Amino acid sequence: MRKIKSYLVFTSFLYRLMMFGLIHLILLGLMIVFPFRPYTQAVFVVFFEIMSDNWLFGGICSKDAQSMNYLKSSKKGMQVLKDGLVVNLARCLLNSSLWICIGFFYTKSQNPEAFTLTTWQTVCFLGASILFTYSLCVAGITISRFFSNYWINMLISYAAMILLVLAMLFSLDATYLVFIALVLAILVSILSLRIVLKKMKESYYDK
Amino acid sequence: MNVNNVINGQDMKKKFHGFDLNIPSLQVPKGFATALIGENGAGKTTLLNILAGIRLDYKGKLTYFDESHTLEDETVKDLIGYTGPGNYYLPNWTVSQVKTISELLFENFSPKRFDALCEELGISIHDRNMQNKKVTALSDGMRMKLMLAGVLARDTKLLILDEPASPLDPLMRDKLCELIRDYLERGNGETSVFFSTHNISDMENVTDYAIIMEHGTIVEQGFVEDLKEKYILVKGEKEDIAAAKKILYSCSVNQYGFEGICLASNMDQLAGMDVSFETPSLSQISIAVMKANTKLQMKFA
Repeated sequence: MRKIKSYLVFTSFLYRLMMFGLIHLILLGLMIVFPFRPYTQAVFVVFFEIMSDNWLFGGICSKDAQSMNYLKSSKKGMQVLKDGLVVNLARCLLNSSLWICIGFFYTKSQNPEAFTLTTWQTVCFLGASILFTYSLCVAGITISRFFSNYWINMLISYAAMILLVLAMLFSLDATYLVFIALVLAILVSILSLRIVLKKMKESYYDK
Repeated sequence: MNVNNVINGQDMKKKFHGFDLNIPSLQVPKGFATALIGENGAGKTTLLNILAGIRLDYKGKLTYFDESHTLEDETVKDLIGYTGPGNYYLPNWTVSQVKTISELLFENFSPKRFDALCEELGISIHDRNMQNKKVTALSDGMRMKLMLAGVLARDTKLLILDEPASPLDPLMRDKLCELIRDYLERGNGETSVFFSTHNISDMENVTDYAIIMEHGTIVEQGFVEDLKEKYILVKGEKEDIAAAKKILYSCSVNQYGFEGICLASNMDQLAGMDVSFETPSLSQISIAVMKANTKLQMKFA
């Protein structure tokens, strides 16, 4: 509960309105309009995650924001920041999982011949899609945190979307891909956390 | 006067970007408001950042609250309220987020007291527009008021304020002095304030103890009453300027004569000159001491 609170304190009213409400309506609408494009949700999840992070931890790794003196003046500052970052990653994974699963099963319901997979293949396919989408979100978010400029955030989110679409062109056996995606997801999560916390620790020292 | 110290520093040193902080001994008395005075680049912010625990790259020994605590003791930060310039809050935070985050960061933060202080300082905390306003959209003065509300809404024993008066209008500076006096009175000798300032004349009426810094070191310190006995303001005639300048710390000349600060112990050296003596203000003492130690090229008549 405390960790969730540590995440929520970084969220403004506008951010909550967008991330917990509006974005889901947009994704739902896209799914209904493009039922035979199962990856539309994944592409837009990546876009919205990277764009919205600007309102959350935007520019936190940039030179301007490295002071964070108010957080540093508290003994709990580092822990609150770490908890907020961890919960945000968990939320991002949940979001990716939700919309890829919804997109997959909705497409399948509209067109039963779309995916003729066994149960295990379905699990691997969904797992790989979720983890790869999540990894791309986290990688894009991590890079965008070095810039406080909103337009650079947008540029990075477009690049991530293009990367995801290109990745979809490669049809690899999902059974192997899910393990690669799992390792990738763990690595980017750890890296993303470590980068921000390292920046905060570095800000205690004048260069 | 035998007083306890809220901060004790020994052999404090820090080197970076061609700047040397070198303070062999630092004592900030407990139960008083101490002003840290110095010209730009003297090292005031560097020192205050170290004392607030937001800069760790220094050498030396630092203890707090009657030498019973160091910054390694995590409870020390709970007892210190710090405000500073620059990137204090994350740029995306709104006014209402500052309140929520403060509750999470500090156990001794009182949301009710925060709201009351905001209203007292002219921040319409109950207004929806103000609640959703980003801290970066606030003026420097409003942001300082928000910082002050944040630290005063906590039960602390020490306030470390970096240039609190700088962005404030004259009326608000007077209010700041009132807030500092109230904080010290409520603490009944157990609370202390350590602030840096350029607005010496505005903050003088709340300053009990002064520390004057130049080039990263302390060049003068003492209770204001003692400093006013140590130094004297001398006013004299133009014909005595040449002789007086050798004795005075600082000297300003106008068409009627000269005015300057010297040590009270050197008063007898001015015998034979047509001079008058007055008690100097803290501002006059500070400027004189800074002039005597500055690297700035000062023109004397």
